[in-house]
This record gives sequence, C-alpha cells and structure tokens, in this order.
Amino acid sequence: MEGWAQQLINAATIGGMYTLVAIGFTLFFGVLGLINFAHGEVFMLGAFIALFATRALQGFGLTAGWLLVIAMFVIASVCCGVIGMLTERLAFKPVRNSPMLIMLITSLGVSFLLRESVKEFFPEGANPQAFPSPYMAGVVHLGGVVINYTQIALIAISIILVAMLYLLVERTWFGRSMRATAEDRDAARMMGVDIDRVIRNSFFVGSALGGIAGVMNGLYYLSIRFDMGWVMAIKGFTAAVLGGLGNVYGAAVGGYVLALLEVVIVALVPQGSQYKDVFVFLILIVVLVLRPSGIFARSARKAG
Amino acid sequence: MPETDFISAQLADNSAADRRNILYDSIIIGAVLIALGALFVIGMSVERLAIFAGFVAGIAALGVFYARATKLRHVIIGAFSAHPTLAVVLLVVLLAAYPLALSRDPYLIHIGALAAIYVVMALGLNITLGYAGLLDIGFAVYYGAGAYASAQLAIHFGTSVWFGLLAGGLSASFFGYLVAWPALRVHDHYLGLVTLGYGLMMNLLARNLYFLTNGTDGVINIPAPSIGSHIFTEPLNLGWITLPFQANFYYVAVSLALLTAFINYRLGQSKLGRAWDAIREDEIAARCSGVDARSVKILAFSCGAFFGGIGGATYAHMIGYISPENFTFIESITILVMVVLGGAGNIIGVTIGAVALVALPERFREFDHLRLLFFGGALVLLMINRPEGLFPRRRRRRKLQPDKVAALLAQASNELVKATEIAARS
Repeated sequence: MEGWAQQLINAATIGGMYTLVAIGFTLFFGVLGLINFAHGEVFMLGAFIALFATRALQGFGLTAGWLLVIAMFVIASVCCGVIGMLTERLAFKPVRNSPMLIMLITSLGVSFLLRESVKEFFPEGANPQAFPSPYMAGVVHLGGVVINYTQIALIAISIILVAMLYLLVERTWFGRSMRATAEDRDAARMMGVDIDRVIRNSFFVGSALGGIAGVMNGLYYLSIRFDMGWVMAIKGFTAAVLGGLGNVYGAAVGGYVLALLEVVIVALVPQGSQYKDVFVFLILIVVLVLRPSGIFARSARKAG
Repeated sequence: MPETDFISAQLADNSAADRRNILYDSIIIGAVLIALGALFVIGMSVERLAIFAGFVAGIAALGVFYARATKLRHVIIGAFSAHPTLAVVLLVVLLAAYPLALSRDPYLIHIGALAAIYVVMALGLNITLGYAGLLDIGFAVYYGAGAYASAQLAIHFGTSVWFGLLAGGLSASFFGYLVAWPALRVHDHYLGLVTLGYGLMMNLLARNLYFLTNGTDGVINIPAPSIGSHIFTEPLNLGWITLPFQANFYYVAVSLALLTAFINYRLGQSKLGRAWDAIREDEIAARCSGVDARSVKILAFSCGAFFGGIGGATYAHMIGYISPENFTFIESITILVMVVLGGAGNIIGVTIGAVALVALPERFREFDHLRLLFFGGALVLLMINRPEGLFPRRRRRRKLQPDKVAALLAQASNELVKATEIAARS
C-alpha cells in the first residue's frame, strides 16, 4: 500500500511536467493547427537556460537557495516564451497557410536547430549536465511515504500554474480571443480579433510553461541532457492527445493520466520499465484511432 | 473560333515534335546526363574546401542560369520528352559505366550503391506519400523489417540472399499492411502521429526483443550474396578490367533502383495510380466516384513498404551489420525529406533528392557533428521558400492525339448536320 502511495506521489510530480508540456502542444494545435515538434526542445532549453542563469547568479555571489529557484523559474519562463515567439515569427508564420506536412517538417527543422545548437554551443553541451537543487535536502514523512521538499514544491507549482491558466483562458480578453481563434480562425478575424497577436501570445504562454516544465525536470532528476526534449515531446503530445488536441483542460488532466498509466504499467507488467515507452506509443495510437477527440470528449465530435 | 485555334496549335506542336532530329536530341540528352554525372563525381572527389565552395557556387549559378534560359530549357526538355526511351538507354549505359570509369575509387562506387539503395526506399515512400498523399513518418520500420527479415533468414536458415530480398520486401509490406489498418481511420496530423508512434514503438521493440533482433547489439556477419561461384565480397573480374568488390553491390543496387523507378512510373500511370491521385486530391469526391478508398490506401501502404523492405534488405547484405540504430526516427525523417525535397510524386525529383541527401552528409563527413544543425536549418529554409520541393510534381497532362481529334471533329460535324436537317424538317 505504501509502495503505491509513494508511486502516486511520483506520478503526480511527473504528471505535472507532462501537463505543462501538453498544454503547449494543445495551445499551438488550437490556434495554428500545428503539431510543434520543437516544443520538446523549448522544454529542454528551459532547463539549460535555468542552469546557465544559476551559474551566472552564483558567479555574482547570489547563493540564497529560494531566491535562486525563483530566479530560475522566472528567467527560464521569460526566455523560453521569447524563444517560442521567435520560432513562431521566423519559422511558422511564413508557412502558416501551407499544408500540414509543410508545417510538420518546418517544426522538425526548428527542433533540430534548437537541439543541435545547445549541443554545439553550450559548454560541454553534448554531455549530461548536473543541475543544482537547493531544496533537495528536506524530507517529509507521511506515514511511511517519503516526500521531499522538491516534490511538494513541484506539485504545488504545476497545480498553481494550471489554475492560473484556467483564469487566463476563461477570464481575460486574451483567453477569449484565443478560444475564438481555435474555434474558427477566419470568423475570429472577421470579429476583429488580431490573429497574429493571439498566435504570438499563445506561443509565449505555451513556451513559457514548457520552459518551466524543463526547470522542474532539472530540479527533480538533478541531471539534464541536450536530447531530453524529444522524449518529453512524445510524452507531452501523448498527454495532449489523451485530453483531446486543442482542448486545454483535457491536456491538464491528460498529463496526470499519462503519468498514472506509466506508474501502473511499470508496477503490473513484468519488465514494465523496459517496455514503458512502448506502452506510451501504444496508448497514443489507440487513442488517436479510437477516440481522436480525446478520452474526455462528450461526443465523438471530430477535433481539429 | 478559339477552340479550333487551340486544337490546330496542338496538332502543329505534335507534328513538330515528331520531326525532331534524333541524332541531335541524343547528343543533347547524352551531354546533359554526362554533365550531371560529372558534377556528382567532381563534387564528391574535390578535396580542398575552398575549391568545393567554388564548386557549390558554380552549381548554384548553373541552376539560376537554367531557370532563366527559357530557350535552352525548352530544347532540353523537348529532347527528353521526344525520346524518353533513348534517354533511359543512355542513362543505363552511363550508370553501368560509372564503376568502370572510377575503378580506382571504391569509396565513390560504395556511395553510388548506397545512393541507389536510398533511391529504392525513397521511391517506396513516394508511392505512399507522393501518389496517395498518406503521411508516413515511420518509414524506417519497413527498412528495418526488410533488413532483419532478410538477414535472419540468411543466417539461421541459410536461404539465398536473392530470396531474402524478396522475403524482406514482403515482410516489410506486412508491416505496412499492419499500420494501414489504424491509419484508415485517421487523417492528416493524426495519421502522421499514428505512423510516428508506430515507428518509435517498433524501434523500441527491436531494441528489446532480443530473440528476434539481438537487441542493441545488432545482427552481425550477415552473408553477402553470390551468383554461381562469384561471391560479392570478391573483386569483380570482367576479363579486361577488375573492379573493386563494391561494384558488385553497386550493380545490384542500381538495377533495383531502375526497376523500382520503372514500377513506380507504371503504377503512377495505372488505374490504381489514378485512384491514388483521386484520394490524395479529394477523398470524399473519390469515394463518390466509386474509388474503394479502403483497399486503395492499404495497397498504398503495402506497396510503399515493399520497396522500403527491399532497400533495407539490400543494405543489410551490403554492409553486413544492422542494429536498431540504423532505423531510428532520424532515418524516417531523412527518407521523408528525400521525397519532399525532390518534390513528392515526381520520380526524377525524388531520385535527385535521395542522391543529394546521401552524397551531402558523406561529403561533409568531417563536420558530422554539425550535420543535424545544417539539416534543421535547411529544412526550415526549404519549407519557407520552396514548399513543393525543388522539382514540383507536374500535373497529369494528355496530349491531343491527331487522329482521335480528327475523328471526334468529323463525328461532331456529322451530328451537327443531322441536327440541322432534323430542325429544318420539323
């Protein structure tokens, strides 16, 4: 029983990261009809930018743990948001009205560019990098279940961010114009919505969340690699597909569901950890084929 | 009447084409083909980087010149379209002469063989993506299926490699058949994601199912093919000249590539090819016109996969070693880009795309760590500037056939006369 509780806590931590990445996928798909393979690399960049910022700040003599962590999150999210906007402006905007294959290949190209740039231009970029984690030391015992401070912080951060996203989507002008764009781009334009701005802002929000997930990943695993974005991209869009591509709340739940499924598979299937990713892909295919609008869709309405 | 003007212009054009001088045309065709081959060889063998940069600039200038010089283009295209058979014969002769001319350079012959193998695979994907418009981001699955099937058959059951090639193709088309079933239910993005997930899943399985694939260790000592007593790892002795052993594989691979191109062309012209065109352009309209979209799509996946498997099997026997690293996601993307770069649906374009994407990384081997960086940048630039590929597909066109037109015109005028008579009588 305690083993399961421990696993659930781990699933909640990882699920939070999947969710944040999945929200990006679903936002981009909603406003642009694009499956952005480069989003995984933005996640990876978030971790690397945080690492770079920490090194720089420590160089300036800033050593207080909590300040460093806050700085990591702020700097990484803003930088990733800007990078996301730049990729949109430079790569996706020119191909916005092209067939889907063209956009897909463009996003693959951007993904290669970002990943290889980190590998080439970050010092020692091809090797795994140790990630600083000031909060790792503290541990809470909850009836035999061990939860460290980092996990508590990460679970809290992801829940708070999802709540903020809810407010952003439901209560603000930006959220409303974004929903309108996702529903019907041309109609939204005719109603006076500035499509370019909506897309730009969506890229900022989605990429910033992706960057935050990257920092969380670093704090949790204490090690980051230049090629970790690709795996996360697959997990992220599987989560987004689970929730129904284009459905923001679906993505928020999809991440946790995917993490839970992974935990269950590892626990129940012999040699499960070896085949964990096989099951993720299987889930992806089965959901796409049987429930293309996600597991939470009320009807079998065709998404996209 | 403008219509008759158009028809007579077409007729005049046709008879002009018939009058072309075959000697003159064959010189043009031969010159163009030799020039292309020479460019390839020079590009691959220039050592100094500065000279190579000049070479690239020269090619770019040539390309611009070709795009500008309308008259020259008409002459060249006219020569090729007037005598396609002659062009093919000359091409075959030149391809056969390639190892003879380069018998001192086994590396270039090896690259030629490798390029031919990728041409086979890219033309396979050309069926799925170019003809039927079905996005397949897991094409490396078929490559791997063919390679493993053929290699394991030869190692464990001692079957002939030639049988193995066929078996590889068939087992790959089985894998294509497998993915076709879920793929029938999804479109566009979702189809891309399904095939992507399929590719990743199969690669992971190949890494973990040790009893089938030897896991990440890979399969080693894959036997080379042989004809009679001539084993392919021995130099090819033609009597007056001895070619390095790579030439054996070169000739096999190039023959397969030519055969694949021919089958591709015939399939594109066939009734099935028209059905593929129809579902690519508008699936609903095609269904309404009686196209059985279901079986046509399954056939597209299986046929495409078949050639992927043949290519993979040839590769396995040529290199003698395969592992899951040979058919990763990057490999799928590379084959996909070969098709898109050349222009999906255009056999010549896809061939050029495949040769270029094999030759360029080999050329820049010393910058291998930067390969993906440049690849990514090139992809973005290409998609923004030439989304249809370097050589866009040309729409299917039919020339007016003079005798048929004359018959139709005669028939129409008869009917007109009859109709006037009837009208006059009543």
